[in-house]
Amino acid sequence: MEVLKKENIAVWDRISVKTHDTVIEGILLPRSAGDDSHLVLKMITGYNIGVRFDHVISIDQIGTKKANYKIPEKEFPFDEAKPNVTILGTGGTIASRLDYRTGAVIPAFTPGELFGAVPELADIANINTKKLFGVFSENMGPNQWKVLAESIRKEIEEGVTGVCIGHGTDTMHYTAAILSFMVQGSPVPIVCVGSQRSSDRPSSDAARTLIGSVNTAAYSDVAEVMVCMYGTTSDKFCYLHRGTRVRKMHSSYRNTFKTLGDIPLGKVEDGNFTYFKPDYKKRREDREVTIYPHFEERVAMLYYYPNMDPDILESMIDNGYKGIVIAGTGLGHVNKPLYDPIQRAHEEGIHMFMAVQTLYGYTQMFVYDTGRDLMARGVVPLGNMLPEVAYCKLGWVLGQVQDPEAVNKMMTTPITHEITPREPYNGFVQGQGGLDVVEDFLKEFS
Amino acid sequence: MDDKEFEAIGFKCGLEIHQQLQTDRKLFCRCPPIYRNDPAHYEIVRHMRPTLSEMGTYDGTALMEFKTRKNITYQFFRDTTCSYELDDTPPFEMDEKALEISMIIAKAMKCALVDEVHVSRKQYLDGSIPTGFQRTAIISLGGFVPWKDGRNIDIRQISLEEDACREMSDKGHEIVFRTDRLSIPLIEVVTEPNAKNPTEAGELAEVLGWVMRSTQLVRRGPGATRQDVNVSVEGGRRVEIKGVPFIDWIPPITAGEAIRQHNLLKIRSLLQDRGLDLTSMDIEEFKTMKSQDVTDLFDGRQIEIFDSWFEGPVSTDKGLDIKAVLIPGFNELFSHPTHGDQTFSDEVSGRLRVICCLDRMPNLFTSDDIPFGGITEDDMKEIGKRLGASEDDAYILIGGPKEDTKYGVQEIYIRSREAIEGIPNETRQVLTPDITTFERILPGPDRMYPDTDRPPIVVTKEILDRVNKQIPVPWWEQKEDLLSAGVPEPVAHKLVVSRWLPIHEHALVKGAEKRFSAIFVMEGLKHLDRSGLDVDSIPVEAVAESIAMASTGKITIRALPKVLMEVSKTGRGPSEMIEELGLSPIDEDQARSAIDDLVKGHVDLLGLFKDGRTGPLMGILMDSIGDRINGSKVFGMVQGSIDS
Ligand SMILES: [Zn+2]
Repeated sequence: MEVLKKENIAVWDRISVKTHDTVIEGILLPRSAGDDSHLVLKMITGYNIGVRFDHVISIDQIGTKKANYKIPEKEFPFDEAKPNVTILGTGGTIASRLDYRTGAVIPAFTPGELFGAVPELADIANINTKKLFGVFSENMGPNQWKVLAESIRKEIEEGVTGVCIGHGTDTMHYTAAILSFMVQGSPVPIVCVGSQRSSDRPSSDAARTLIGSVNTAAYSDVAEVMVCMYGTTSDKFCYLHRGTRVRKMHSSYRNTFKTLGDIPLGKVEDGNFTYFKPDYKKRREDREVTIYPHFEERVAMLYYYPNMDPDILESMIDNGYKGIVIAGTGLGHVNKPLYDPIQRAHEEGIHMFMAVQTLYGYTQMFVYDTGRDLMARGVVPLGNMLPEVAYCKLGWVLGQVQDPEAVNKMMTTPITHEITPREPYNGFVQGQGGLDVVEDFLKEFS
Repeated sequence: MDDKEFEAIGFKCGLEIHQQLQTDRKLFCRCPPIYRNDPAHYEIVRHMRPTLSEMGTYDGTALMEFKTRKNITYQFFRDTTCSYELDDTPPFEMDEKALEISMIIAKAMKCALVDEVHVSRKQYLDGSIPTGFQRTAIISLGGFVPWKDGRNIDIRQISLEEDACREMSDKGHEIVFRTDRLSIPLIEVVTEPNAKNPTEAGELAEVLGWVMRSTQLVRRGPGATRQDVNVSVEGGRRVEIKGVPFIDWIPPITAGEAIRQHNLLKIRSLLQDRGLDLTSMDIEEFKTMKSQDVTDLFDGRQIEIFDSWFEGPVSTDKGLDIKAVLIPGFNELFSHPTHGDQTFSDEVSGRLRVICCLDRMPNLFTSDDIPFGGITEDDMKEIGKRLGASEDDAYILIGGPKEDTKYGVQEIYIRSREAIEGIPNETRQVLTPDITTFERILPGPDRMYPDTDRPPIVVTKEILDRVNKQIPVPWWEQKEDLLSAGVPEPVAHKLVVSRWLPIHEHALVKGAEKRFSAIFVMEGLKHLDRSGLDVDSIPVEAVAESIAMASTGKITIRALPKVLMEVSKTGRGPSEMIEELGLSPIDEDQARSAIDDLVKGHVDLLGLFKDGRTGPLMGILMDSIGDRINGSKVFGMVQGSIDS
């Protein structure tokens, strides 16, 4: 470090570094991690290497280059005959390009940038983009959800054919769920889309998910909140998942999103739709939509595990939470030591609901004593509502009503498939890899 | 042309040697580094999409390759490949052993190790890697290996990288890759262009191969070592020939490339003489390009070179067409020779095959060709007329799926225009030992960027200590040492890079004489191995001990193969086997009395022996005691007993 200061050398300078056994030329890169005992050079070949400061004999500056990048925009071609789709940006990058010099990923988001990155979009629709905020997926929360809901209303009222929401994938199913409650009776498709492989990779899924979602927004007949992501790990088609039944199920696979306890709404492949379920809300020509942008933030989710200490729940009570979704074991259970704090929470007016951590299947709290004991202490079962969906819905409900009976009624009355009356046999796929028949199927399917 | 003539045209050649390392797992996942030849368990289909360049645009060729759209199928095995190979899981930690081996080899080549290893991504759009990029890291810079006449082979850099998939087939728009090879650790050794002629280019590969094998830490067998050669001539351009499979092929293939460049430069000057320049041919929007659909001209007739597509008479309603494209000023240039039996039309043909998927050969017909196979003089005149061709111009005909021929005529135009510049920036693949063909456009330096999935690895003192302990004595020093011990040159030469070198080294430690051990390991063991003894299945220590015993007279040389056979069969130690089989040597007194007894029983043979037919008696004697005492001694004793 000292030597850099002494020679007045700054990041992005072209330098020549002499060590005791070699001379290396390259561009001085900024240090990303905490280690400051090495300087990092990008050599002419494009490779990066690290050189220990105490191996450096001398450094000479050869030149400097300013880092100044902008994606040259191409104008997005407007075609009056084509539908208009708005893409709302939340911060997750769908399309991007690399700065090869720094390795930084530069998002492409304006219509011009998107057109440059995925020119096929121009064959589908006229695209307008609005960057609402720039947060990572994990930092999405009630404030962003409310803004999104309001923005969707505005777009609908202004006459768009469909809305896409560019979103990081980690919490996309939370956003899809809350928007299913906040935006009701939309006349157009609302499609959440992201990518599992960033678009700086030749193997990225971004272009295909983007094309799929814009197609869906522009031409699909489904006027619901959906997630449009890969259906298999092959570059083949995207599934359209219902916002209240979808969940990210793998930390890195492309086809990470699954519809749980049911089958997806349909699929989109090269602009062709196949609908698996006929019970969707149809697209309308009117511009009427109702927005309920409410959320009570003192809501928590408690993921039960064996031997859970009651003090966890105690502290939730002490910290003034107003609603708790418990993800219980099996049909919806927790251990006896939690009974007392649950009782206390109930007495203090905290709204408690039970979802299942098995993710598939319904709560059934009449079968065993435990279930009955919990219900006696005010815990209300939520059927096959997914725990994350239950969290979103509880926050949304408590943002509007507080009366226990009203809260319970709203929670247990499905608005848009968050609780389904029946689970079809193919809502929970039985097979596991290993069986010949499943392996044969996998070969076919991928 | 001979070596002197190549030197005269400024021949220069450097190598990039890819060598797989002997590890227990792959570089970035925990799968075993093994090849599979049984049917794949699972397949997926992907497409590679070009990424935006630094300028925020797509590279024209990359986009064209994308438009012609290859369906890439990847094959998987549930027990030896995982979701990393699928590109559905980020990389795991880099294999430590691979890192160590790469550093040992770097040190053996006198290279300066980096202080911190940074993994970079090198983009490949050809589908050979499911991510679309190869993970690669510089391990060392600037080293050298002594060569000949006081010259060194200069090492520019050594990197550690993951191997790509194996290509199983490539037909039309369908390419199939097997992921078994993906991510097997390999090092890439890049040399300076030290070779001044084709013979030297071969030497470079051989010498570096020895150094790597002398570490005993690299994989052997088909495909474990692959060399890319970079060739240029004066006024030419560095062209990379990928994957030369045998070292023997390097001299003819580099010679072929030098001749090709020489001829492309000739074509360039012919074009310049004709007054052509780059501005006359627009390849951005192809505004200057004249091309036409001429399917109707051949309608209803069977045309030989297009029959692979039409499979019968040409017709306009099969989704296929025949297109002609005018290349102004190129008369008689498409038949200009390049190298081997290839002409300039083969340069164009290679592009059509790879980039436009027009891979049913022959895939073009030029105006330089003599009409054949259903194409008539009249057809040629008619096409010339339609294109408005003058006597100085040339044209090319292609047939195939409409989408492909659309890009095909553009590609012909692009490649022709490149002739005005001289030698295109491309990589080539080996067709025969002296002929290459187009492989792909050389990607620019833009294709490297940092891999953000893994943090850099600091080369700690612990790593360095482990590496330093394992650096082999340079093979040239080992060889000198063997020669001075009287080991014949061919044996010494082979031994220093043999996988059995550790046997020899252990035998020396156990007291074997150097010359004896060296010769036995390279000649005796090899013979035994060929006649069915699986040498590699016996522990190195046991083989070494047996050799040492034979060398120090604890057993006879004749008994040595028997001991090894038994050790291999039973898995027990050599001393134990010698005892059990009664193979320990006998002294002369014991031998003499045994001989006396045997001779008495075969008086008839003794008569023959005296007449000079020593074989029959000696055979019986050797069968009986030959494993326990030297044969020449037995012979001497029989003679002695006769004399007395
Ligand atoms: Zn693996």
